[in-house]
Amino acid sequence: MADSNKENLRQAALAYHEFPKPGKLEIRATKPLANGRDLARAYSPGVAEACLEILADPATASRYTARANLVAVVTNGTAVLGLGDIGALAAKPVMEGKAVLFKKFAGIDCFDIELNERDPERLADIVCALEPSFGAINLEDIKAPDCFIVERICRERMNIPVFHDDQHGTAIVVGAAATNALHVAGKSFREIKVVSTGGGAAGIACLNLLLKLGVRRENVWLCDIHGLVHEGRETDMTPQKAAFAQKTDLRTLDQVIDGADLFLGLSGPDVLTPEQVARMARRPIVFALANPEPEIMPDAARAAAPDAIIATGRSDFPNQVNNVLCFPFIFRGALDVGATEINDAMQIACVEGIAELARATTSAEAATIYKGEQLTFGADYLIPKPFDPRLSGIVSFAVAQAAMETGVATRPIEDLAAYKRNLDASVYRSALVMRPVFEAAATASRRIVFAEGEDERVLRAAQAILEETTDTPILIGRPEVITSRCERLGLQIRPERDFNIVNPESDPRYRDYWGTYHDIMKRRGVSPDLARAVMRTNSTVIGAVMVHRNEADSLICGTFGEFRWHLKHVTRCWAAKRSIPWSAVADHPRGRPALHRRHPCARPPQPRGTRRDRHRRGAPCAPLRHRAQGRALLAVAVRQPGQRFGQTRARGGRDPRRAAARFRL
Amino acid sequence: MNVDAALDPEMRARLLPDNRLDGAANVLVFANADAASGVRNILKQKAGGLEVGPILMGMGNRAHVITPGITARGLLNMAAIAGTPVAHYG
Repeated sequence: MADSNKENLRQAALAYHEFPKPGKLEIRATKPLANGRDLARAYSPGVAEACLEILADPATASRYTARANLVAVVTNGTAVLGLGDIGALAAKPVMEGKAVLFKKFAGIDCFDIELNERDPERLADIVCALEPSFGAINLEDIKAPDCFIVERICRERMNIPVFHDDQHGTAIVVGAAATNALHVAGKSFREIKVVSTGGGAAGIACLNLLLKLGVRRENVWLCDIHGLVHEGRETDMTPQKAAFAQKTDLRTLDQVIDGADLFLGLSGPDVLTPEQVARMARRPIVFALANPEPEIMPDAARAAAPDAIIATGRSDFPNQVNNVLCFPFIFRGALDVGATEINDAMQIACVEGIAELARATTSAEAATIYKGEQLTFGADYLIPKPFDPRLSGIVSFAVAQAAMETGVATRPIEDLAAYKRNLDASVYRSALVMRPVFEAAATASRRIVFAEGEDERVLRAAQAILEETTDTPILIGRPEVITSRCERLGLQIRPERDFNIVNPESDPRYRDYWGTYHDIMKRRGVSPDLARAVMRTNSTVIGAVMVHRNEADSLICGTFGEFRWHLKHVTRCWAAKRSIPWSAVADHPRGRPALHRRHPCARPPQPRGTRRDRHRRGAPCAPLRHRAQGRALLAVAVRQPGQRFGQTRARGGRDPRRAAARFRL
Repeated sequence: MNVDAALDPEMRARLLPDNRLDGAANVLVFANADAASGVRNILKQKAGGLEVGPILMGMGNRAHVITPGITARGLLNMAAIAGTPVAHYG
């Protein structure tokens, strides 16, 4: 059974890669190349101008080529996650996938480069030679300790950011998770004891970042496959590991785990036992990040220490430490300011941005994708979900700022507010269009009543209104339903405390409302009983009456139900005010104000006595009225009884226009 | 005129050689709401358009009737529109 599932998964994955077109990416032209003129500009001889500009000033390459937004994912296939040393060609699907992630999450153009070169120094030479082609380099899946050498050499020699995501991407997300875990546990970086297993590229990078966040060197206990890394040990030592050597006689993980606050595992499966977790400090933090099997399964850890805060690298458990939360956004920020490197300040800014976002309210978009999961900050939600649309605006922005502050930005941004808006706009497509509206709305504080106040979208919108605008939402709905839904959605707002509610089932203003409604509608046959019933059930009418009584400034209704039904109820409540002009959607041409005496498109009035004078002054011209009512003019070819077929113009002149008027079309 | 004539300048030039309009229309005014609603929905579903609205004109910004397909973000946008005092227009 499990085998056939595996086989299905395997076939599905292979089909995904092969059909409809092999591979996961393609290149597209961004400029029109439709005619000879375009060709002369894009290619010979026009392109020479661009070349000469760049020759004179290399910085202009960011203006005339796509380089400033182009990143290379570079590997030699010696440490592909989960598969090991499979070589450059076999690593290509993974690298293509990485390139696609860059594009999808941050709009960064990316291509994958697999190099047949195992010697780290020669590999570094090749990567350095690639500098003219790209705006930044992402090193991927190069084995330790070669990756340290390659990265160091490339960073020294190149003027573009070089970032080994396996090291620093993991470290940054771990740093954000640790920041928030300590928040939840009520501890600080300076006081905690950290025990780590692995000692590989990612492990070392995580520990180095934790030091930068405040962990004390003497509180870090690193173990690898041979046991504790201690002074005097010579087996399998690298300079990176030696930096964490402890002066002690203790030799094993079991001996050092007592009282540990944070366990950081980047090693292999079954390294940590439940009994060892029980010996850790109060509220232990367990980051078991080995893939696919973590150092300890979350359930086992939770059983040993019910107050443990746990993260893994797997998507089927909460708190997945996923590099994709980091690399697209840190590169976006770095590329946007033309940074020459990704330095410590930018990495810390990235850590803080991600951590901050997890502590903010969930957005509606993320909640839609991760339906059913509890996405409120806490032990089970330490880091945001990768699809959170606010990541770019917060993380990329913080990284860009850090780059400018530390002086590594070659194209500093002057208007930071506009930059943030652009980042957000690439996520919320309506942001640019709506900006002037939001600014205008900020000049007044209006009370907006939502007829369907129990709807999930309305609740989210109410929270957003309270957070982002100066308006006051009023919701029509039952308080207990609204309260429980707010809790379920992880919203901070509560009825009566943050916004007002009108409860159709029982509200002190009920007598006044149905009284008003009856006053408006009594001449249309609405009795007091009917008015009372309507006010208990029809939330659109309740809202309309509220606006009528000036207890609210504006009504928004229609999250469910038919458009015309809502419109009918709204207009009927206000028809008496004669403020509804003629419109294409009205059911009856009642209440037409004096304003629209003549349809703007109508010809100017002809002198008296002419054919056109037939139009009554004040009415829109007949054909327009017909079209506006949704009827076609063709309906006038009506056959009269006794007529022979084809004889529409019988004696007496069945003029189409007169027929239309007659049938009151 | 038909929508394709409004959006395609070359076709419009063929049918209405004397027309004074330039380029493709960016505002389409329909004679009835059903046609407009159909076009709006097709643009949303098939052309990936993002809708801001529907905005109800003529109510003095005192009511907006939205459609069931709206998102929470869309409701926030409508609230911003509803929250703008009418004096701001024009």
